[in-house]
Amino acid sequence: MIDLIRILGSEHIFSIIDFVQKSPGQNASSIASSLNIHTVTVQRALETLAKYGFVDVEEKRGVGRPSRNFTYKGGKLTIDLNELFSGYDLKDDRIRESGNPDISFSYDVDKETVNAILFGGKKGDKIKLDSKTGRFLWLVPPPDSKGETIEHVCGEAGIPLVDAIRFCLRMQELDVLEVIR
Amino acid sequence: MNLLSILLGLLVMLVLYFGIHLVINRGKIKFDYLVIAILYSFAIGVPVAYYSNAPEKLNVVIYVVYYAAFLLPFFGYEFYKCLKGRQSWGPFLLIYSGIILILISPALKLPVKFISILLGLILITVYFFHLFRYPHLNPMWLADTAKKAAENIEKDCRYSPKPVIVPIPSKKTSCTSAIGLYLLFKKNMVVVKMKKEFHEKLGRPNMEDYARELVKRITQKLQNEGKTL
Repeated sequence: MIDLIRILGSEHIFSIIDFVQKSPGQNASSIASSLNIHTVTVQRALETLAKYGFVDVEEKRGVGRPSRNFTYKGGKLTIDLNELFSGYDLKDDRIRESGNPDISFSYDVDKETVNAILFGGKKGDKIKLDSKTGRFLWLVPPPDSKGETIEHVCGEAGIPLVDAIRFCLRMQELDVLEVIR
Repeated sequence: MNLLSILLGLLVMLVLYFGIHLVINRGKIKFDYLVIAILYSFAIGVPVAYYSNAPEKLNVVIYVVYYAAFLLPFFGYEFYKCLKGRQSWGPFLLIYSGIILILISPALKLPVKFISILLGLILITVYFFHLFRYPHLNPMWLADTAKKAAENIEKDCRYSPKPVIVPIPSKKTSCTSAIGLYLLFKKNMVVVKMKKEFHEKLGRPNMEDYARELVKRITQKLQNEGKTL
Protein backbone atom coordinates (compact mmCIF):
# COMPACT_ATOMS: atom_id res chain seq x y z
CA MET A 1 0.00 0.00 0.00
CA ILE A 2 2.84 2.37 0.81
CA ASP A 3 3.99 2.22 -2.83
CA LEU A 4 0.57 3.42 -3.99
CA ILE A 5 0.51 6.24 -1.42
CA ARG A 6 3.95 7.29 -2.58
CA ILE A 7 2.92 7.29 -6.24
CA LEU A 8 -0.24 9.28 -5.47
CA GLY A 9 1.90 11.89 -3.77
CA SER A 10 4.34 12.17 -6.65
CA GLU A 11 4.75 15.29 -8.75
CA HIS A 12 3.40 14.10 -12.11
CA ILE A 13 0.59 11.77 -11.03
CA PHE A 14 -2.28 14.14 -11.95
CA SER A 15 -0.98 14.85 -15.44
CA ILE A 16 -0.37 11.10 -16.05
CA ILE A 17 -3.89 10.10 -14.88
CA ASP A 18 -5.44 12.95 -16.83
CA PHE A 19 -3.64 11.85 -19.98
CA VAL A 20 -4.57 8.17 -19.57
CA GLN A 21 -8.21 9.14 -18.97
CA LYS A 22 -8.35 11.23 -22.14
CA SER A 23 -6.18 8.92 -24.32
CA PRO A 24 -6.74 5.30 -23.28
CA GLY A 25 -4.69 2.37 -24.59
CA GLN A 26 -1.32 4.10 -24.80
CA ASN A 27 1.99 2.72 -23.61
CA ALA A 28 4.31 4.37 -21.06
CA SER A 29 6.78 5.51 -23.67
CA SER A 30 4.22 7.46 -25.74
CA ILE A 31 2.62 8.94 -22.60
CA ALA A 32 6.04 10.01 -21.36
CA SER A 33 6.98 11.68 -24.64
CA SER A 34 3.62 13.48 -24.83
CA LEU A 35 3.94 14.78 -21.27
CA ASN A 36 7.69 15.35 -21.49
CA ILE A 37 8.31 13.17 -18.42
CA HIS A 38 10.83 10.36 -18.07
CA THR A 39 9.47 6.98 -19.25
CA VAL A 40 10.53 5.25 -16.01
CA THR A 41 8.47 7.72 -13.95
CA VAL A 42 5.35 7.07 -16.05
CA GLN A 43 5.95 3.31 -16.13
CA ARG A 44 6.38 3.12 -12.36
CA ALA A 45 3.25 5.21 -11.68
CA LEU A 46 1.06 3.23 -14.06
CA GLU A 47 2.37 -0.18 -13.00
CA THR A 48 1.64 0.67 -9.36
CA LEU A 49 -1.87 1.90 -10.23
CA ALA A 50 -2.38 -1.29 -12.25
CA LYS A 51 -1.20 -3.41 -9.31
CA TYR A 52 -4.08 -2.03 -7.21
CA GLY A 53 -6.61 -2.26 -10.06
CA PHE A 54 -7.04 1.45 -10.85
CA VAL A 55 -5.63 1.05 -14.35
CA ASP A 56 -6.15 -1.76 -16.89
CA VAL A 57 -3.18 -3.17 -18.75
CA GLU A 58 -3.36 -4.73 -22.18
CA GLU A 59 -0.27 -6.46 -23.48
CA LYS A 60 0.21 -6.24 -27.25
CA ARG A 61 2.70 -8.56 -28.90
CA GLY A 62 4.40 -7.70 -32.14
CA VAL A 63 7.93 -7.21 -33.40
CA GLY A 64 10.32 -6.77 -30.47
CA ARG A 65 9.27 -6.52 -26.84
CA PRO A 66 5.53 -6.67 -26.03
CA SER A 67 3.91 -3.29 -25.49
CA ARG A 68 1.90 -2.65 -22.30
CA ASN A 69 -0.97 -0.28 -22.98
CA PHE A 70 -2.76 1.42 -20.10
CA THR A 71 -6.39 2.43 -19.74
CA TYR A 72 -7.81 4.35 -16.79
CA LYS A 73 -10.31 2.40 -14.73
CA GLY A 74 -10.62 4.41 -11.50
CA GLY A 75 -12.09 3.18 -8.24
CA LYS A 76 -12.14 3.77 -4.50
CA LEU A 77 -9.11 3.65 -2.25
CA THR A 78 -9.45 2.49 1.36
CA ILE A 79 -6.44 2.81 3.62
CA ASP A 80 -6.19 0.73 6.77
CA LEU A 81 -3.86 2.79 8.93
CA ASN A 82 -3.54 -0.01 11.49
CA GLU A 83 -2.28 -2.33 8.80
CA LEU A 84 -0.10 0.37 7.29
CA PHE A 85 1.69 1.17 10.53
CA SER A 86 1.83 -2.39 11.87
CA GLY A 87 5.32 -3.72 12.26
CA TYR A 88 6.96 -0.29 12.36
CA ASP A 89 8.15 -1.04 15.88
CA LEU A 90 10.33 -3.77 14.33
CA LYS A 91 12.73 -1.14 13.03
CA ASP A 92 14.98 -1.42 16.06
CA ASP A 93 14.94 -5.22 16.09
CA ARG A 94 17.96 -7.07 14.82
CA ILE A 95 17.80 -9.39 11.85
CA ARG A 96 20.05 -12.16 10.56
CA GLU A 97 19.84 -15.07 8.17
CA SER A 98 18.06 -18.14 9.45
CA GLY A 99 20.59 -20.61 7.99
CA ASN A 100 17.89 -22.90 6.59
CA PRO A 101 19.83 -25.65 4.73
CA ASP A 102 17.12 -25.92 2.04
CA ILE A 103 17.57 -22.30 1.01
CA SER A 104 20.32 -21.06 -1.27
CA PHE A 105 20.87 -17.81 -3.12
CA SER A 106 21.70 -16.62 -6.58
CA TYR A 107 23.82 -13.51 -6.16
CA ASP A 108 26.12 -11.14 -7.98
CA VAL A 109 29.35 -10.45 -6.12
CA ASP A 110 30.27 -7.52 -8.35
CA LYS A 111 26.91 -5.76 -8.07
CA GLU A 112 26.63 -6.74 -4.39
CA THR A 113 23.10 -7.97 -4.65
CA VAL A 114 21.05 -11.16 -4.26
CA ASN A 115 19.20 -11.88 -7.50
CA ALA A 116 16.99 -14.71 -6.30
CA ILE A 117 16.24 -16.99 -3.37
CA LEU A 118 16.22 -20.68 -4.28
CA PHE A 119 14.16 -23.14 -2.27
CA GLY A 120 15.26 -26.77 -2.49
CA GLY A 121 18.15 -26.27 -4.89
CA LYS A 122 18.33 -25.06 -8.47
CA LYS A 123 15.35 -27.13 -9.61
CA GLY A 124 13.13 -25.97 -6.75
CA ASP A 125 11.07 -22.82 -6.32
CA LYS A 126 12.64 -19.46 -6.95
CA ILE A 127 11.80 -15.96 -5.74
CA LYS A 128 13.33 -13.22 -7.86
CA LEU A 129 14.25 -10.03 -6.03
CA ASP A 130 14.40 -6.51 -7.37
CA SER A 131 17.61 -4.52 -7.04
CA LYS A 132 16.63 -2.84 -3.76
CA THR A 133 15.40 -5.87 -1.83
CA GLY A 134 18.27 -7.87 -3.37
CA ARG A 135 20.73 -5.33 -2.00
CA PHE A 136 18.97 -5.40 1.38
CA LEU A 137 19.21 -9.19 1.62
CA TRP A 138 22.85 -9.06 0.54
CA LEU A 139 23.59 -6.93 3.62
CA VAL A 140 21.73 -9.14 6.11
CA PRO A 141 24.28 -10.70 8.50
CA PRO A 142 24.83 -14.48 8.52
CA PRO A 143 23.14 -16.95 10.92
CA ASP A 144 24.23 -16.98 14.58
CA SER A 145 25.69 -13.49 14.27
CA LYS A 146 24.63 -10.64 16.55
CA GLY A 147 22.50 -9.36 13.71
CA GLU A 148 21.90 -5.82 12.53
CA THR A 149 18.91 -3.54 13.06
CA ILE A 150 16.45 -3.31 10.16
CA GLU A 151 16.85 0.47 10.21
CA HIS A 152 20.63 0.19 9.82
CA VAL A 153 20.44 -2.35 6.99
CA CYS A 154 17.79 -0.42 5.09
CA GLY A 155 19.89 2.75 5.45
CA GLU A 156 22.83 0.91 3.87
CA ALA A 157 20.68 -0.62 1.15
CA GLY A 158 18.85 2.60 0.30
CA ILE A 159 15.40 1.09 0.74
CA PRO A 160 12.50 2.82 2.60
CA LEU A 161 12.08 1.55 6.15
CA VAL A 162 8.44 0.56 5.71
CA ASP A 163 9.30 -1.55 2.64
CA ALA A 164 12.22 -3.11 4.50
CA ILE A 165 9.99 -4.11 7.44
CA ARG A 166 7.42 -5.66 5.08
CA PHE A 167 10.19 -7.50 3.24
CA CYS A 168 11.66 -8.77 6.52
CA LEU A 169 8.29 -10.09 7.70
CA ARG A 170 7.79 -11.87 4.39
CA MET A 171 11.28 -13.34 4.51
CA GLN A 172 10.71 -14.41 8.10
CA GLU A 173 7.61 -16.32 7.03
CA LEU A 174 9.68 -18.06 4.35
CA ASP A 175 12.41 -18.85 6.92
CA VAL A 176 15.01 -16.90 4.95
CA LEU A 177 15.82 -14.61 7.86
CA GLU A 178 14.96 -14.31 11.52
CA VAL A 179 14.09 -11.29 13.60
CA ILE A 180 15.85 -11.34 16.98
CA ARG A 181 13.53 -9.87 19.58
CA MET B 1 69.80 -37.15 -23.49
CA ASN B 2 69.75 -40.26 -21.31
CA LEU B 3 67.32 -41.29 -18.57
CA LEU B 4 69.65 -40.16 -15.79
CA SER B 5 69.86 -36.60 -17.09
CA ILE B 6 66.05 -36.48 -17.47
CA LEU B 7 65.58 -37.68 -13.88
CA LEU B 8 68.19 -35.20 -12.68
CA GLY B 9 66.40 -32.40 -14.55
CA LEU B 10 63.07 -33.38 -13.00
CA LEU B 11 64.66 -33.52 -9.54
CA VAL B 12 66.14 -30.04 -9.99
CA MET B 13 62.71 -28.75 -11.10
CA LEU B 14 61.07 -30.40 -8.08
CA VAL B 15 63.53 -28.86 -5.65
CA LEU B 16 63.22 -25.49 -7.40
CA TYR B 17 59.40 -25.52 -7.25
CA PHE B 18 59.48 -26.58 -3.61
CA GLY B 19 61.96 -23.82 -2.80
CA ILE B 20 59.90 -21.17 -4.61
CA HIS B 21 56.73 -22.19 -2.82
CA LEU B 22 58.53 -22.37 0.51
CA VAL B 23 59.71 -18.77 0.09
CA ILE B 24 56.56 -17.16 -1.35
CA ASN B 25 54.32 -18.92 1.17
CA ARG B 26 56.51 -17.86 4.11
CA GLY B 27 57.16 -21.49 5.07
CA LYS B 28 53.44 -22.39 5.14
CA ILE B 29 53.54 -25.47 2.96
CA LYS B 30 50.38 -27.53 2.49
CA PHE B 31 50.97 -30.93 0.96
CA ASP B 32 47.78 -31.17 -1.13
CA TYR B 33 48.31 -27.71 -2.62
CA LEU B 34 51.98 -28.46 -3.23
CA VAL B 35 51.18 -31.68 -5.12
CA ILE B 36 48.71 -29.83 -7.36
CA ALA B 37 51.16 -26.97 -7.95
CA ILE B 38 54.05 -29.30 -8.77
CA LEU B 39 52.00 -31.56 -11.06
CA TYR B 40 50.66 -28.54 -12.93
CA SER B 41 54.10 -26.96 -13.15
CA PHE B 42 55.51 -30.23 -14.53
CA ALA B 43 52.69 -30.48 -17.05
CA ILE B 44 53.59 -27.00 -18.24
CA GLY B 45 57.36 -27.21 -17.86
CA VAL B 46 58.33 -30.66 -19.15
CA PRO B 47 57.19 -30.40 -22.83
CA VAL B 48 58.76 -26.96 -23.30
CA ALA B 49 62.02 -28.19 -21.75
CA TYR B 50 61.96 -31.30 -23.94
CA TYR B 51 61.31 -29.43 -27.19
CA SER B 52 63.88 -26.79 -26.31
CA ASN B 53 66.47 -29.56 -26.28
CA ALA B 54 65.04 -31.31 -29.36
CA PRO B 55 63.46 -28.56 -31.52
CA GLU B 56 63.53 -30.82 -34.62
CA LYS B 57 60.84 -33.04 -33.03
CA LEU B 58 58.49 -30.10 -32.41
CA ASN B 59 54.99 -30.55 -33.85
CA VAL B 60 53.52 -27.07 -33.65
CA VAL B 61 49.84 -28.13 -33.84
CA ILE B 62 50.07 -30.70 -31.05
CA TYR B 63 52.22 -28.30 -29.02
CA VAL B 64 49.70 -25.45 -29.33
CA VAL B 65 46.69 -27.72 -28.64
CA TYR B 66 48.41 -29.20 -25.57
CA TYR B 67 49.14 -25.80 -24.04
CA ALA B 68 45.76 -24.39 -25.01
CA ALA B 69 44.10 -27.27 -23.13
CA PHE B 70 46.27 -26.75 -20.05
CA LEU B 71 46.43 -22.98 -19.96
CA LEU B 72 43.20 -21.65 -21.47
CA PRO B 73 40.88 -22.51 -18.53
CA PHE B 74 43.15 -20.69 -16.08
CA PHE B 75 43.94 -17.91 -18.50
CA GLY B 76 40.23 -17.46 -19.20
CA TYR B 77 39.31 -17.35 -15.53
CA GLU B 78 42.08 -14.89 -14.63
CA PHE B 79 41.22 -12.75 -17.65
CA TYR B 80 37.55 -12.73 -16.59
CA LYS B 81 38.52 -11.60 -13.07
CA CYS B 82 40.60 -8.77 -14.53
CA LEU B 83 37.78 -7.73 -16.87
CA LYS B 84 35.35 -7.67 -13.96
CA GLY B 85 37.76 -5.48 -12.02
CA ARG B 86 38.25 -8.05 -9.27
CA GLN B 87 42.02 -7.93 -9.64
CA SER B 88 44.59 -5.71 -11.30
CA TRP B 89 46.01 -6.40 -14.74
CA GLY B 90 49.67 -6.12 -13.67
CA PRO B 91 50.22 -9.58 -12.11
CA PHE B 92 48.08 -11.21 -14.81
CA LEU B 93 50.14 -9.67 -17.60
CA LEU B 94 53.40 -10.51 -15.82
CA ILE B 95 52.72 -14.23 -15.39
CA TYR B 96 51.08 -14.89 -18.74
CA SER B 97 53.59 -12.81 -20.75
CA GLY B 98 56.36 -14.73 -18.98
CA ILE B 99 54.76 -18.10 -19.70
CA ILE B 100 54.10 -17.28 -23.36
CA LEU B 101 57.67 -16.03 -23.88
CA ILE B 102 58.99 -19.32 -22.52
CA LEU B 103 56.46 -21.41 -24.45
CA ILE B 104 57.39 -19.91 -27.82
CA SER B 105 61.10 -20.45 -27.20
CA PRO B 106 61.33 -23.96 -28.85
CA ALA B 107 60.27 -22.39 -32.14
CA LEU B 108 62.98 -19.71 -31.96
CA LYS B 109 66.63 -19.83 -32.85
CA LEU B 110 69.59 -18.74 -30.74
CA PRO B 111 70.20 -16.02 -29.51
CA VAL B 112 66.53 -14.90 -29.68
CA LYS B 113 65.56 -18.13 -27.93
CA PHE B 114 67.87 -17.35 -25.02
CA ILE B 115 66.56 -13.78 -24.74
CA SER B 116 62.96 -15.03 -24.84
CA ILE B 117 63.56 -17.54 -22.03
CA LEU B 118 65.52 -15.02 -19.96
CA LEU B 119 62.85 -12.33 -20.34
CA GLY B 120 60.12 -14.85 -19.51
CA LEU B 121 61.95 -15.97 -16.37
CA ILE B 122 62.46 -12.35 -15.29
CA LEU B 123 58.72 -11.62 -15.68
CA ILE B 124 57.77 -14.77 -13.76
CA THR B 125 60.29 -13.89 -11.02
CA VAL B 126 58.74 -10.43 -10.69
CA TYR B 127 55.34 -12.14 -10.39
CA PHE B 128 56.67 -14.41 -7.64
CA PHE B 129 58.09 -11.34 -5.91
CA HIS B 130 54.60 -9.79 -6.03
CA LEU B 131 53.15 -12.96 -4.47
CA PHE B 132 55.81 -12.83 -1.78
CA ARG B 133 54.92 -9.23 -0.95
CA TYR B 134 51.21 -10.05 -0.67
CA PRO B 135 51.07 -13.47 1.03
CA HIS B 136 47.26 -13.55 1.17
CA LEU B 137 47.27 -14.06 -2.61
CA ASN B 138 48.89 -17.48 -2.09
CA PRO B 139 46.44 -20.35 -1.57
CA MET B 140 48.81 -22.21 0.78
CA TRP B 141 49.36 -19.24 3.07
CA LEU B 142 45.66 -18.42 2.95
CA ALA B 143 44.63 -22.01 3.76
CA ASP B 144 46.97 -22.06 6.75
CA THR B 145 45.74 -18.67 8.01
CA ALA B 146 42.12 -19.70 7.41
CA LYS B 147 42.58 -22.78 9.56
CA LYS B 148 44.26 -20.84 12.36
CA ALA B 149 41.62 -18.09 12.26
CA ALA B 150 38.92 -20.62 13.14
CA GLU B 151 40.69 -21.82 16.31
CA ASN B 152 39.18 -19.41 18.82
CA ILE B 153 35.83 -18.88 17.14
CA GLU B 154 32.54 -20.25 18.46
CA LYS B 155 31.84 -23.61 16.80
CA ASP B 156 28.79 -25.66 15.77
CA CYS B 157 27.04 -22.71 14.19
CA ARG B 158 24.76 -22.62 11.17
CA TYR B 159 25.90 -22.17 7.60
CA SER B 160 24.67 -19.87 4.86
CA PRO B 161 25.76 -20.02 1.22
CA LYS B 162 25.49 -16.22 1.01
CA PRO B 163 28.84 -14.42 1.35
CA VAL B 164 29.69 -12.52 4.54
CA ILE B 165 30.50 -8.83 4.20
CA VAL B 166 33.31 -7.46 6.38
CA PRO B 167 33.67 -3.68 6.23
CA ILE B 168 37.31 -2.52 6.12
CA PRO B 169 39.04 0.60 4.85
CA SER B 170 40.78 -0.47 1.63
CA LYS B 171 41.98 1.23 -1.51
CA LYS B 172 42.75 -1.67 -3.83
CA THR B 173 40.61 -4.39 -5.34
CA SER B 174 41.98 -7.91 -5.37
CA CYS B 175 40.77 -11.44 -4.96
CA THR B 176 42.22 -14.63 -3.64
CA SER B 177 41.06 -18.15 -2.96
CA ALA B 178 41.93 -21.42 -1.32
CA ILE B 179 40.02 -24.71 -1.58
CA GLY B 180 36.48 -23.89 -0.42
CA LEU B 181 37.24 -20.26 0.39
CA TYR B 182 37.07 -17.14 -1.75
CA LEU B 183 37.89 -13.58 -0.71
CA LEU B 184 37.16 -10.50 -2.75
CA PHE B 185 38.73 -7.32 -1.44
CA LYS B 186 36.67 -4.39 -2.63
CA LYS B 187 36.69 -0.73 -1.72
CA ASN B 188 35.54 -0.46 1.91
CA MET B 189 34.69 -4.14 2.31
CA VAL B 190 35.76 -7.74 1.92
CA VAL B 191 33.39 -10.36 0.55
CA VAL B 192 34.09 -13.73 2.20
CA LYS B 193 32.56 -16.74 0.47
CA MET B 194 32.94 -20.22 1.85
CA LYS B 195 31.68 -23.60 0.76
CA LYS B 196 29.69 -25.81 3.08
CA GLU B 197 32.41 -28.51 3.12
CA PHE B 198 34.99 -25.91 4.13
CA HIS B 199 32.70 -24.64 6.90
CA GLU B 200 32.20 -28.21 8.13
CA LYS B 201 35.94 -28.91 7.97
CA LEU B 202 36.65 -25.96 10.27
CA GLY B 203 34.13 -27.25 12.83
CA ARG B 204 31.23 -25.02 11.68
CA PRO B 205 32.50 -21.69 13.09
CA ASN B 206 30.28 -18.64 13.53
CA MET B 207 30.46 -17.26 10.01
CA GLU B 208 30.50 -13.57 10.87
CA ASP B 209 33.10 -13.85 13.63
CA TYR B 210 35.21 -16.15 11.50
CA ALA B 211 35.15 -13.85 8.46
CA ARG B 212 36.08 -10.87 10.63
CA GLU B 213 38.93 -12.77 12.29
CA LEU B 214 40.30 -13.99 8.96
CA VAL B 215 40.22 -10.51 7.43
CA LYS B 216 41.79 -9.09 10.61
CA ARG B 217 44.68 -11.56 10.39
CA ILE B 218 45.29 -10.76 6.74
CA THR B 219 45.19 -6.99 7.22
CA GLN B 220 47.42 -7.25 10.30
CA LYS B 221 49.97 -9.33 8.41
CA LEU B 222 50.06 -6.79 5.60
CA GLN B 223 50.22 -3.86 8.01
CA ASN B 224 53.12 -5.48 9.86
CA GLU B 225 54.99 -5.58 6.59
CA GLY B 226 54.12 -2.00 5.68
CA LYS B 227 51.57 -2.90 2.99
CA THR B 228 47.98 -1.78 2.62
CA LEU B 229 44.99 -3.39 1.00
